[in-house]
Amino acid sequence: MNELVVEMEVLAELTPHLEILDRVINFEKKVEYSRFLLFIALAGFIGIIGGFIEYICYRFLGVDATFFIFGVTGNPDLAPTAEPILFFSLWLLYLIPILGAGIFTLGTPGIINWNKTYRIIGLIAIGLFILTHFLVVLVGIPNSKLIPIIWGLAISCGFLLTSYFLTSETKSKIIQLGLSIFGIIALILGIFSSIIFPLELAMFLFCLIFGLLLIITSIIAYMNIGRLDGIIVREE
Amino acid sequence: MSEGPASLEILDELDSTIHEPVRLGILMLLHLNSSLTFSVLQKGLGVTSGNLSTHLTKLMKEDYVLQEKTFVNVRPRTVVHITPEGRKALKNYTNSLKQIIIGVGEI
Repeated sequence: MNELVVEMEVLAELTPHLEILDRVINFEKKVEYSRFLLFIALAGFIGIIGGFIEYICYRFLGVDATFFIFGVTGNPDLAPTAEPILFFSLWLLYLIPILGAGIFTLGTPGIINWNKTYRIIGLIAIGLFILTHFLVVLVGIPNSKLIPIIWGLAISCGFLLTSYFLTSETKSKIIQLGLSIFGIIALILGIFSSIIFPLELAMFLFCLIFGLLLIITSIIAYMNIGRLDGIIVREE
Repeated sequence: MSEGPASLEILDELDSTIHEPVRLGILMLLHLNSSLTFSVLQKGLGVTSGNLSTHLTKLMKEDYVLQEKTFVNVRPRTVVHITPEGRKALKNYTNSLKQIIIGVGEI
């Protein structure tokens, strides 16, 4: 028998296996996409909490949350020495999501598979988070109006870079487009919040609108694309 | 018969329990997700419940999977788990398959 014919027969015999593996890959892609949408929704939730913290800080402390975590306050009665519980509570609110995200995504099977791409995205996120705080401190309390622009720019860079790195990982145009749109919206929203809204509400509304946008979009995407189309039916 | 790198003889040496496409799909999904309900497996692989039951019985005979039957809100629910033997067998099978595919690629 011709060697080539034998190889063709091998391939023909494996065709049903390849077809079933295709179904397995499609299933896993949907699971992965739903997980991705959950992360977007969680980011939105953290955004809303961030907005709430910003409102509390501006309304009662008279400064942005970034200044308060470094001990600066516009109200001496609420300074860290006078109100240590308030000061440490804010630190905990900052640290718990960061530590939680780090701890609960480690190991196998973790929530995130920390391959090279995800490690780069994680480092970008941490780097931008620290850089943004550094820029806010550099801008100073008198120029607090610029803070939504700084955050908008940082979030925009974060989403656009994530879009770039994640596209090479997932090969998904939807994810690339979705993240890029979020990045552009963050920047525009940051600029508009800074110009239109009063200082006390600018960061609150920026975080609230962007957070709600992330949550609503991820819910719509999950209901229309991500949901496993009746696959998660518990009873048979 | 040819003595090429990949031949039908190599296919015959593969674990026949896993080599069936649906059973391979079941083990792959369970390897990736540890445990899944009967319905999830059925919809994920696009097979009938009778077909899936038959294949699960064969996998259980080899101790590759375990079935756990429970009731949730008075409705029956079957959860299928992969066993360490199942993982090991799947690993051996994929290694053999990899060699065949590499062999075919060399032609």
